[in-house]
This record gives sequence, C-alpha cells and structure tokens, in this order.
Amino acid sequence: MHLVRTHSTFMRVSWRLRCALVVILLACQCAPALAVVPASGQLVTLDQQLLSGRAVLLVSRYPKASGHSTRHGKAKAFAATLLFERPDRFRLVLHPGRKGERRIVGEAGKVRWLDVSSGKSGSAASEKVVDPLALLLLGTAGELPRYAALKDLYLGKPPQPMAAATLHPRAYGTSVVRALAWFGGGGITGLDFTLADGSRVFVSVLYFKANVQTRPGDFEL
Amino acid sequence: MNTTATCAPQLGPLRPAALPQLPPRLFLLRNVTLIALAVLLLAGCTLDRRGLLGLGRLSPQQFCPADTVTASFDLLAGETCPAGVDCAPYFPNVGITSNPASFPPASFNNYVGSVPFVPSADRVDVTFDTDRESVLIPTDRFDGGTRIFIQRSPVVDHTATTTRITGTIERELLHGGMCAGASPVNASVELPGPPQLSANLALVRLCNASPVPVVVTLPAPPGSVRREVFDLAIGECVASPGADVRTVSIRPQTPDLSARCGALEAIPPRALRTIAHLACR
Repeated sequence: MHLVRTHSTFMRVSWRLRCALVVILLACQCAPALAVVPASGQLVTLDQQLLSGRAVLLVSRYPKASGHSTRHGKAKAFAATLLFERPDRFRLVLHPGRKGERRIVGEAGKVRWLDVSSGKSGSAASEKVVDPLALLLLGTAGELPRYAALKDLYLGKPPQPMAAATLHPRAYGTSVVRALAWFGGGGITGLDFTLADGSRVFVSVLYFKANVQTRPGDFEL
Repeated sequence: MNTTATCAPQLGPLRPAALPQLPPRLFLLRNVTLIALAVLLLAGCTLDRRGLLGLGRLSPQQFCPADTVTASFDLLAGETCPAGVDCAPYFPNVGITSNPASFPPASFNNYVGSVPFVPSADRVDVTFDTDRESVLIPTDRFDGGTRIFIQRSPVVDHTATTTRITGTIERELLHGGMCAGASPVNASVELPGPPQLSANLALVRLCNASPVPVVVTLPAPPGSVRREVFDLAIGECVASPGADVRTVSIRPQTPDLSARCGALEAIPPRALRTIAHLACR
C-alpha cells in the first residue's frame, strides 16, 4: 500500500507499506470531459502540444508466463517520478524517497545514473540504453502516427467514462510490441505495455502535468 | 518475435554487446519507453535484442485453419524516402523462404516487402535473409550541407515460426488499477489478436482469476444493443460469453477499500485478472 500526500507547491512522499506511490491533484482542473474525444485523437493532440511534463507513476511489472503456463507471475510494483523536456532531456527517479532510490538523467544524447544507496554511478549513450521508441517520442513532436499505428479500443456504446487507444509501434528495434493508453477523469490515467519477451508493464499515471516550467538544474543527478 | 529475456542481475551471455559496462540495476533502462505523452516507464529486464532487430515478422504467429499469414519486413519503420531522392541505390536485397514450402521463394530489392501465404503445415518456418548487416535510409534533414542518413544496424537474418492453433488456448488478462479522477477503475482488456494470435479466434470461456468476486461486462459489438454482464465468484467461469466479444471490462463486486482516488491522496485499486479461453471460429 502506498500513500502519498502533497503539501503546498511540492509533494512530500510518505511510504506506508512496500511499494510506494504517489498521487497528487490533477493539475488541469479546467480540462474538458476528454472521454468523449477518441483516445487516439487525445494522444495525437498531446503529442503535438507537449513540450515538457512532470509525472508521478506507479509501475507494475508482470513477468512473462513461464513454461507451459500462460499466466503471469506476481507483479513487482514500484514508484517513479519523471520530468522531461523535449527534445532530449529527462530525469527519472525510481523508488523516490526510499532505500534503493535510483536517479537517471538523460540530456544531449547521454544518460547518467546514480544508485543513491550504493553510490554507484555511470553513463552511456542514450541510444544504447533507452528504447528507440522512447527516443523517437521524446525527440519529435506531432509525429506519433509515423511511429505507431493508432486505434481506438471499443468499450461499448458511447458515452463511456474511459477511453483507450492501442498503439502498435513501428520504431525499429523497440521492445514494445503493443501499448494501450487510457484516458479518463480529464486526463491520462494509465499505460499498458506488452513487451517483446512476453512480459507486461502497467503504469498508473497518478499525476501528470504538461508543459511545466523547467530549469537547467532540474536535470541533475 | 524471437527474443530472450535476461533479467538483472543474472545477465547471461546473451547480454547485448552494446551494454557491457552497465551495472545490473541500470539494465532497467533498457525498457524505458516513452509513449505519446512522453511518459517514461521502467520495466525490470533487458532483452536479447537479436529478435527485436531481426529482419522480418510473421502475422499472426499462431494461426487458425484457412488464415492467411503475412511474412513482412519494414526497415523504414516510420521513415519515408524523401521526395526527389533516389533511394534505390541504398535498397537492401532481402530473400524470404519458407519450410515446408508454403510460397515460392521471394526476393525484394527494397526497404519494405511482404508475402501473404496460407501455411501448408501446422508449423511453418520462414527465413528472412539479406545481403548486408546495416541499411542506410536518406532523410530530408541536413547537417550543414550534408544529408543525414538513418542507419539500421545490425540487420539480422533470422527465422520466424508460425504455428496452427489446436483446441483452445488460454491467455491471462491483466486489468490494471487506475484512478480516473476521483474514481478507482480497472482497465478493460482487448482480447489478444494479431500479430501474435489469429484474428479468427472467439472467446469460448472466461474465468475470474482475481482474489475477489468481480462483475465482468462484455460490451455489445458495434451495431448491437446486447451487452453481457456476469457476476463471477473467485475462480468461477462463464461458458460461451459471446463469440463477437473483443473487450473484457471488469470491476470488483464490492469496492476495493484500499483504493483512494482524490486530489490529495491516491492509491489505485488492486489489479484484477481474468483468464480468456479462445478457440478458432
């Protein structure tokens, strides 16, 4: 169980049980009822208009089914925070505020990382360690349909409270076979990935604010 | 797609050569994926990328009788040959063959190509091979006065396999928990289909694999008003829920009390699971 509270302008994280997670207020109170808009259209619009963003995520990773079983094992869940700025900057923190916190920063084609508990650090070229689809989507704006075939998921007769779009990536060498993006309550709520090795990753988007102001110091380890 | 997972810290000999120096935990980065909103996510394993960088694909990888399977390759992957540029000098030569023979050997001098075929056996291996290890694609972008090229490297020859579906197959559907504003919800799931499975599969049985009783809703197909709703106890199954069903929606019968979706705190509901049994129509 995870519990996160926000205070004033920034959030203070407090972990209650194992994997923690944050939640924050939905930033865009004035957002229209987006669920009536096809999810693929919302994705394309976001891709066109997004310059930067801040997100708080709960990531659940399901291992691939083993042997003859078709059932995934128990999920491993962990929290992550993300700040990014197109075309090439991001700061990703895994297990924020916990033992095992890891910070990963990408900028100008290079990724650096720091394991806070052990103090180990390193760096590598972005194309060596970041999925090609991620690099494409970070580095381009409004070109999502070039790199992924989009289709709205049919959830029944409209209106529906949720909307979803499937993506079949065309990025060369990507690990993502298929992705599903969920919208509801005025914003994006989740992402569901099927990876090439058969494992699954479900991301609950607990907070997302688009086009945030960033400073150079935001992308330090 | 032939890939092998290699999870940290047991990085075996299949570890990509491009990542020799990273400490095991940093292999998390391998699955970082930025989707649409530039939301980056982490998964825990790295992949043997030889399959990912393999030249061709088969769709579906498991077929029903009378299905047409397509063997294809696409080195453009979203890029385009710029107008006014002759890309032909950069085209690779690609050969596609099958075993047992389901189509005559095909050869292409292009970035893309495909061969539709009806499998001649329950298992067909399709081999893609090319005359080069890397492929250049001109772009319409310039660095100074020099045209920028994209390089696909390495381009790996490989063999992909498609097999016939016999009987029923089962797939676990994962319904992740989310907060949609103030509402805790579980994601609906689209039944699996191409490119992994045939498009001609029907849902013949659906089971609740969640630790709680659930309400399953199967949306009426477009053009129909019929919508199926089932209460399923733990482990309970429903037979023949609907041949045309493509999506499974779910919620717990009683609200997940651990879930909190609000402005000041949010905990998404627990994930739910169902098992879909599928058979060829």
